[in-house]
Amino acid sequence: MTETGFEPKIVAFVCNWCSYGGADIAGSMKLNYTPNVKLIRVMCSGRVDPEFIMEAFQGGADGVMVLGCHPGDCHYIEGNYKTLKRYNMLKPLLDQFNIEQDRLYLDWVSASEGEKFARVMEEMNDRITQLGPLNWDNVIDTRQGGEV
Amino acid sequence: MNEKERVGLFLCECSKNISGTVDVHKIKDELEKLPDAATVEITNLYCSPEGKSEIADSIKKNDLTKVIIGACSVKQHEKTFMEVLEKAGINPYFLQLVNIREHVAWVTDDKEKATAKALSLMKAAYNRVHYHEAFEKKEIDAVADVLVVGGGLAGCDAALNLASEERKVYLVETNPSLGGQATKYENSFPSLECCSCMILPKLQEVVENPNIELLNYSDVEEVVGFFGNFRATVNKKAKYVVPDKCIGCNECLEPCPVEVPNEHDDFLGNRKAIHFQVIGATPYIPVIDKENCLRFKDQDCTKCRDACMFDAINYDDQDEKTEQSVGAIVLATGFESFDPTLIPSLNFSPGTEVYTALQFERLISNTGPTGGKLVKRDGTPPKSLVLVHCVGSRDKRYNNYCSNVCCSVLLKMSTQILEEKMAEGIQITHVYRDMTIGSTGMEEMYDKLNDEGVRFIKVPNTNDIAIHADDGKAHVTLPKETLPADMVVLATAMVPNKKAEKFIEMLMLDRDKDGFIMPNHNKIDALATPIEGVFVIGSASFPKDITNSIIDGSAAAGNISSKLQPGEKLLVETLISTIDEEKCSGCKTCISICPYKAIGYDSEKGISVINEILCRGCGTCVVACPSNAITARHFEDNTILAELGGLL
Repeated sequence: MTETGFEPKIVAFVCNWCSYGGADIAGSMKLNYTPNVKLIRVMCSGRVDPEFIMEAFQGGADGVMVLGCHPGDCHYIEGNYKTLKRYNMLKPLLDQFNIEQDRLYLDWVSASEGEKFARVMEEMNDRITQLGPLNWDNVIDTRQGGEV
Repeated sequence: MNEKERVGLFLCECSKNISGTVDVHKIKDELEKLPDAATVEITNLYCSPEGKSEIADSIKKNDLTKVIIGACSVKQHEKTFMEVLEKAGINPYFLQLVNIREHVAWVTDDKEKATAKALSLMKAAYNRVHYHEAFEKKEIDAVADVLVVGGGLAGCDAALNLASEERKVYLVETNPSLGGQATKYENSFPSLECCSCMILPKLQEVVENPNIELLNYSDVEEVVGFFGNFRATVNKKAKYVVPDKCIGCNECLEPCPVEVPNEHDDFLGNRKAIHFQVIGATPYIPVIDKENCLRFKDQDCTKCRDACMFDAINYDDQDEKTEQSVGAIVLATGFESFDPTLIPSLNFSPGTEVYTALQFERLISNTGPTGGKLVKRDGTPPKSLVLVHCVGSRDKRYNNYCSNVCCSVLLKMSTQILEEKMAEGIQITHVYRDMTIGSTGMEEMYDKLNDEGVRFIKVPNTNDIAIHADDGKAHVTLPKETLPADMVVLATAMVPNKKAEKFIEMLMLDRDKDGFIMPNHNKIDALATPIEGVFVIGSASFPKDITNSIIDGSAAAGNISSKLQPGEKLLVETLISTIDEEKCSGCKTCISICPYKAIGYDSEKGISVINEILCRGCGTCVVACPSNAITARHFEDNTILAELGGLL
């Protein structure tokens, strides 16, 4: 809980093979980290449509994370490279919507990296807490088209 | 989205593991307010036999259409609970397992926040299951026969382990005989055991096995299809020698007037147009090489036929194409030797006293061009020998990897020369970077050579040395000294076989950074490839010694035997992606993006088509499709967005 009482809402898309497993290991290790991040499991980080990320912001998320297998380790050979490309395209576009780029975060967490999983959860929570709630007045409604 | 669902929500206490942090009763009260919640239940341990019965009973009693279980990781119990649903008579994909233990109860001490987080995950699942559809397991007919490409030791071992009365193996070898590179070796490290004695019985077993169809001197021309249902077209090159008549007496060789460099001796000596791969080869039947035989150059030579006492020469023989149906393919295409002329300072040129290790192996082999006598080109024995390690290996300019085998081979050669007293008083010097000799018995061999006066000179990079060879003598210039040498041996890197390129293209495989065929995973799935049903063994995926090549052959055979059982159907992945024909514009974006080459193009309909046997359901094509024509089963856009909505 911060001084302002702001508790970020963060959604993390995790791949089934590596990062979901990383979250499991963090649990088995009983590592304490923020309950503010909620996970959505997809088979591959390559399944994460940039649209899901925009929908998450639209639906009230203050931050969105995409976590996949380390480069070279993807269960589906190269899905995570596709993720990286899409992320690199989407991230600068966030400025166009007045969404700070730091609200979107991509990282690689393996099924053994419980420590890293807990750490990136905490770091994301800190980043979003610093940024404060997503400033809705300035955000263009992606579904309606909005006024530019 | 389905109307009027009857959703059962089950909260597991997992003893105190969950309920110690998460207030499951408070969650129950909240979940009961959901419109389609038919029942919300709590028990201590749903994975126990009693817990599973409770769910099954509730499914029947409450006529549930969907089931949500708040418990542990999908890795632990998703399969457990899917079976419960199936046994209770509803589709197993109507389940959503929510991880409120590892992802919630175990990672926070704050009971209030943990409860809120668990509740929102349960609500997200509630949203999600409304979109869950039923999927049925699908089976397809499959052929259990196997195509093995490459008759080296890896391929032969795979063939022998696979062949049975119920499973035929087609073994294709481009050369006339079996055994691959190992047939070039007189003996093997570390025991100097005779290679022929070791491998010929195995090769003979292949020839005699009634369930192996040996297609030697043949090439695979085309492969189409998929796991369980490949079709291979093989061209059997004309041999011009009738196998049933030939007894391998050699009488035809001598009269042949043609002499060409012998590729089977790495071009060290010459061979005739009618030739054996090596003396004692298996099968031991010569072939006439059409490229060089005078008859195929409009000359009326019949010398080999005249010499044959068994009427075994048939000049009218023709290439023959055959087609085989197979369920799996094993690529055992092996390696070739790095071309040392690519390193200019080594001045490698034929005719000098500088040899590649494979050439030198032929020189000290009883079946080689000198009959196993170690002599220079002028016929005299060498007084000094310099063996250079890592030629073209472990160097970014050429091949960045270690070829694994060369250090051991050079130590073996030195031991062989000294033990068999092949050259009296010879001084042997190794020029090396690091001695990489991992296999059993090699350290002892290295120590013994040190004791026996073999010199080992360590240099920073063996590819930076200079060699000058002329007038039957060579000089090897190292950073600190120049060594005169009667003979020099270059341990050239083992590089990918160029003949494997065709298979990489045809089967849409990938190359690794060094150009070898890339397996599915370097450690945990090193024999399978991303193309289901295609395996890579031996040095086709990375340089390996005889031991590891044969282990690969056996292991791949085991893998195939368990996946592809004669008479049984193949179960295909249920959660795949599907294409809506109406929406697909035929742009082919998905085809280029699929890591499993599971998507093809139907030119008649002008749309992309997913092969449901090859698709593994990663869903990356779904995102790439500009027409929203592709759906990932169980992870549809609507399903994920519904789950997302429940979380926020």
